[in-house]
Amino acid sequence: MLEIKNLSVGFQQKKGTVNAVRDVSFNVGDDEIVAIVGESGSGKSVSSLAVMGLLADNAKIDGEILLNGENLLLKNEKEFQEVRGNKISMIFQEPMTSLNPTMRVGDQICEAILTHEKISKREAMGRAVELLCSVGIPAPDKRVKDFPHQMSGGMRQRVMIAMALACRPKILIADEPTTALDVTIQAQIMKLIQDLHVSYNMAVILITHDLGVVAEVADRVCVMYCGQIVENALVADLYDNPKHPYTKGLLESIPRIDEDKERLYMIDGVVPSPQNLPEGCAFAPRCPDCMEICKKSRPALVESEGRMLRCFLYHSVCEGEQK
Amino acid sequence: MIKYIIKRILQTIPVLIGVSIIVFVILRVFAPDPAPIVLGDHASAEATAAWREAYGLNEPIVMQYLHYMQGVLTGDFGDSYFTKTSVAQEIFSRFPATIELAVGAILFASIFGILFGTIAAVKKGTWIDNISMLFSLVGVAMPVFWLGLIMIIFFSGFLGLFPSTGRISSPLMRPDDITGLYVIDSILTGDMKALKDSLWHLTLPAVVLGMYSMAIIARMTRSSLLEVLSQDYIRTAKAKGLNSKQIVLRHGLRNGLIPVITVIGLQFGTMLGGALLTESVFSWPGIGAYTVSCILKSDFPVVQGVVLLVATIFVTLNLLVDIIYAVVDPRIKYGKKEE
Repeated sequence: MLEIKNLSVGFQQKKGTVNAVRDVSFNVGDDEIVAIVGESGSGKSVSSLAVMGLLADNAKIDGEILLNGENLLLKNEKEFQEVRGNKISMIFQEPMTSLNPTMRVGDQICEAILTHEKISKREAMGRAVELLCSVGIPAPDKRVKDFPHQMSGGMRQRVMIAMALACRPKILIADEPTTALDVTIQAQIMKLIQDLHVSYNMAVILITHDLGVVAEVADRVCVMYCGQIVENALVADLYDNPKHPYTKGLLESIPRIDEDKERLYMIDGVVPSPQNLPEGCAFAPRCPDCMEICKKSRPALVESEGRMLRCFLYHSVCEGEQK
Repeated sequence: MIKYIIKRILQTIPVLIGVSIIVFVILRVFAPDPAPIVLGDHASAEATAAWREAYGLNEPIVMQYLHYMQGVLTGDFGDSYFTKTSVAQEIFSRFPATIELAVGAILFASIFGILFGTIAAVKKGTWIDNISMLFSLVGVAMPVFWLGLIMIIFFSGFLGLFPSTGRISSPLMRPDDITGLYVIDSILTGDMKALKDSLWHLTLPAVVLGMYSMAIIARMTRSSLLEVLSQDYIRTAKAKGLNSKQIVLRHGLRNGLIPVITVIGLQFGTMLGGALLTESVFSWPGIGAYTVSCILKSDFPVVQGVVLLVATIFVTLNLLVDIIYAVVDPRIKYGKKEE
């Protein structure tokens, strides 16, 4: 349903253009939960903001974002407004600051409904109460009159979700929805998103750096590194048999309950700055399996055994098979 | 909330007592002796002594103050040394003109200040922003008397669009006296001719008096709105699919205007204290010019009365601003912490 093809995002700055996202392609199926994982600065949030058309004015976007075949990047601002909050919705990392402090939460939800549907304020308020109920807020008919500061972080994230669901979107983008919440609430919110994914029959793009969360809820995972997708695979395949050296490193560095390790694995080195990327593969300087070719040229994203990989280790494999 | 308001009103009492003591002492220590001004330079010593006795000026200053406050508490602010009419009457015959001018000026300043500030913030960094801010810089920097003269020369002299003096063209056109505000009175009595004429007279002085405040309000609105527009909830509003007009009006201004309210309140208070220069330039029969003449003539009771009135207005406006704060920003709850 959502196809992202060769998406690149650069930010023009005084010192030159910073390429935050480079040549990203992936698809999201009708009832899939696709997780995008990666470190801070890997371009996962920027990609999702590009899908919502919420990037700053100095962003330069290339590629295609197709929603049911329609390229969103060709839409003008007014046409894009009809997509936002209606067909694609988004919830953010910071529930504490993402709601307007001077507006009642009920009014904020109503606003989302009334922007896209011609119904009366009263009907919209009725819907808002139902929505709050469906995201698990007790006494929703009273809570609609609350102001955000009267709610906890978890509650506010539920309100954000209710607001995002207001027009029954086809796709929900959740940008690190649980990062700012404490652990017990995190699990509740993830469970809620999973339940709503089924009951609202919508696709979810889940952006996170928490691989544990991904394993539990996602169908497919895109691993991003330095603005590129390095591996895109089904969850089971990825966890059972990670192929890209970066993915392997990430999974190695998760503590496991069935292993008794003195120290956790750590990927050597640091993420290169986007202004100063290496000549070859961006991961080459940190890669344990680095070859000569990796330092000189950049690998393309190729298919290998039902998954997409950006690594020369598997280029030769597929080339060998093709031969 | 009501508890809070009562508490704040009680707190104003010591403020007003302090103000009255300060003005009382300053007048008696620094202002010239009123007796020779009232009686003339050649008055005999006996006449002077008799006059001083009649107005209680021969008593020790503490006793003078206590007698004065005794009067104030019963609503008697004394009589003017010169006109011999009561201070209350003196003030209230002129105060409506000042109120009318101040309200006109603050309306002009708020409407255009917020408008320019908002446009500048939304179009940040463009030539529109630069022009708005240049305009407001000029507004802050320009002396009122000079601006007043320029406006008179241009709009009433050169273009002949507006009158340069007074509140109304002829005393015969005055609407029936209800509030003393010509604009309000002519609306209440349905006198359209007087309404048009008084608004016509009000325009230039209100613009001149409001220019400085407008500039301050525009700058404040711009910086406050810019900060609000970078908040996360503005991104949320965009993600809902709102257009930029809805975002600025519903989400931006509601939050961005909170600090601007304080500025408007304080500016309005200053204007109500009497706009001496504007009133002088436009021969506006308000309280500002009158007070200055009373200071120069050492008319103590009038000066004391005016200062007390202005102080009361200031304190009340501050309280009003705080109450409006609580209405606009639901996070502010007064009086909860003390309980």
